[in-house]
Amino acid sequence: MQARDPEGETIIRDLIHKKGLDCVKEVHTSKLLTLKVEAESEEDALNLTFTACNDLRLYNPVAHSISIRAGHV
Amino acid sequence: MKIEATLVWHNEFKSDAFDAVILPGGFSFGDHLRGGIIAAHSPAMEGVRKMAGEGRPVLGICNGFQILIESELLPGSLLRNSSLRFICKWTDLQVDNVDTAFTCAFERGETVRMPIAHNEGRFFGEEQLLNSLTADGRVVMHYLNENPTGTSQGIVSISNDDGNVVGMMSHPERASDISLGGTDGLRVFGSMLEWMR
Repeated sequence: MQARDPEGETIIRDLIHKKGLDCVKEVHTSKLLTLKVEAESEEDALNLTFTACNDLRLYNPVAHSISIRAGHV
Repeated sequence: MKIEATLVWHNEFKSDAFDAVILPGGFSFGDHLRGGIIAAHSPAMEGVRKMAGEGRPVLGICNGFQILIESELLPGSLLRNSSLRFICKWTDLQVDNVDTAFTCAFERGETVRMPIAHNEGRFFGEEQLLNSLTADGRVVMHYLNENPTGTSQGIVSISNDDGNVVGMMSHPERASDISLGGTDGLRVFGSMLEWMR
């Protein structure tokens, strides 16, 4: 069972579909956190971020899923 | 009703000096990230966790409920209201579980009135959690006649297994004097005294 996303529902119903983009079937909103991490490698940075996200509940594990990507600064 | 209460700073809480603890409503750390998540990591929560584990009464009201959820002392999640609006109104509630530290002075099935005032109070859980909360009698109160926030199964209050930890989105303290519009909330605190006797 997925948590309702009323903001996503409004975006698709009252904007996207009203403009005729019926090919769009779902919209889900999300939150983006950008972390600048000091680490020896990209893998270390990803692992540290993954641990922080889970241990500190930086995302809501009950209602949301998480995706982590790395990029060099 | 006589209860000796002390305000506690979030950085320091000597829990052994207290019989019970109430995490009040309001806002903590601007509700940044999510309501209650940053406060859940406050040093004072170590004492709250200890009290909960020892069976002493722990009540979270509104933001306090969010803190208990984010501390994983209670299960589930509190999402933004389905209207995406802050809702402040009196609500009718049904008391479902009277085997808790904060509802033992009520009758099962009784209707009570208390206000809500929040933006993030839409209780959500996977079907498995909702089923187990219902089966175990851990739904403490639910909305009657309406569901203003879109919460799962109308749930407004839940407890832990032992009934000593309760979270509620309704505000009993705002329904504790006739001049405020009602006194049903006073019995939440009366329950706490009765539970500790």
